[in-house]
Amino acid sequence: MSPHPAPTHPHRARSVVLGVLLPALLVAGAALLTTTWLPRLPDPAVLHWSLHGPARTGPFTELVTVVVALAATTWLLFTTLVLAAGRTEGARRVLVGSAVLLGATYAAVLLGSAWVQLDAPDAAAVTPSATPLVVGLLVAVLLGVAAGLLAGADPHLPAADPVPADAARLDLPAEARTMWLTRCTVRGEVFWWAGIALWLAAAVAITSLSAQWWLLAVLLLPALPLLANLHWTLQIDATGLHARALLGWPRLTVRAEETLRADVVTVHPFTEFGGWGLRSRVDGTSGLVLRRGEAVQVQATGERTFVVTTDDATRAAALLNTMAARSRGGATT
Amino acid sequence: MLLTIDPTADSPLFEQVATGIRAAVVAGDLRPGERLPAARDLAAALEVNMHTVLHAYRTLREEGLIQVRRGRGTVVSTRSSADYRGLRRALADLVREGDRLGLSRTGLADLIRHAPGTAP
Repeated sequence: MSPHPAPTHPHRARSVVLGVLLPALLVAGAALLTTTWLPRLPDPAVLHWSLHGPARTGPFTELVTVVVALAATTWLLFTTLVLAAGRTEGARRVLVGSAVLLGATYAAVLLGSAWVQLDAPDAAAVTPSATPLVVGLLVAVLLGVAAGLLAGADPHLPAADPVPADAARLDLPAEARTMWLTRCTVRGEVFWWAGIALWLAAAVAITSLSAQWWLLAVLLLPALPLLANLHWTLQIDATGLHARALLGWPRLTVRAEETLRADVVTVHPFTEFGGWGLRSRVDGTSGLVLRRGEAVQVQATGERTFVVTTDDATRAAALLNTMAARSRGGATT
Repeated sequence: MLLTIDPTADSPLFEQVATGIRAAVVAGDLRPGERLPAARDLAAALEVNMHTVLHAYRTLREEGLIQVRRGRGTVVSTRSSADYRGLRRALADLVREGDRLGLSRTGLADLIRHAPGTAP
């Protein structure tokens, strides 16, 4: 592989404020606030709840210590990821959003656990209530989504150099307008559906056992990205390459004017991307990997690489090269 | 499916769009039951008026090649794909014979256009 020059990370400052500082502030703030509440909490306080009420009691500081330790581990992991990855918009939004969501969740757990016990004479007198925790989790989701939305779109980086002559082109009439379109489905679709069905059944079972309806929403949330990754539409036209999931989101776009070159490669989803679907690697490679086999690999400005598995990859790569060359002013077709 | 239209060509744009989709169906690039892009999206990608695409879709619908399904949009008709396999073979034979005889593709197309219809 060719040596990489300094990698480019758009919206670096914003990523640090939202993805690193904000989660730390949320957890630290919650820990401080609950500590000031200590005199108003029963001692021992309820540390762990079962479905039928308090399960374990102890000094509340123990809960604070455990949650802060977990939060710190998560924070270290996500800080590394936010700083190292996030070269492309999708990865940046997901990482920053997740960092905030997790930080806010830890804060919500601390605040919710303390809130229900405020001014209770002792642990036995505490009336269990999931409401503060549910409200806290909702706020955490909203904060995560907001942070993801604020993480910033990719700046427009038109390529300066012409498309290399050895990059395959499609022979098209000079005035022709062309579009290529295909639909892809993840390999072994039936197994994915079986997995989703199993998940649904488990979620319903857990929910009905615990009689906490809101759990269903929390449990179904992880199934959504799975569902959204099963079917994709791929399109190449004069504006570039566009991949759109069945639900219209997520999307992957490579603009023609930001395309350096496109080639056909062979992809092994698990060894190269650690799985299937829309993937992102720390080195700035984004993959839409639905199966093993031929794929279009697009090198784009800003040190980005996109890999998209598809049938007919030879024609797709050639058309994208042609469109990229045309976007440079048509002089180098 | 790869669709190419040439605004400088003689044939009208809607016909070029219809020809491209027809070729994709016959070649098997578009499978029976597969959804066609929304007219608006296709028009945007090819930089033509949406009515041009709608005109092309109408033409193909009258041929029975595509159908409009409620909730699913415009899809390739689910008539047996074997229909097209015969046509695909015949087309390959036709082109091979034409090339052997040195006929231009346009000449070949004109022959098809003016060929006497099979009596029902």
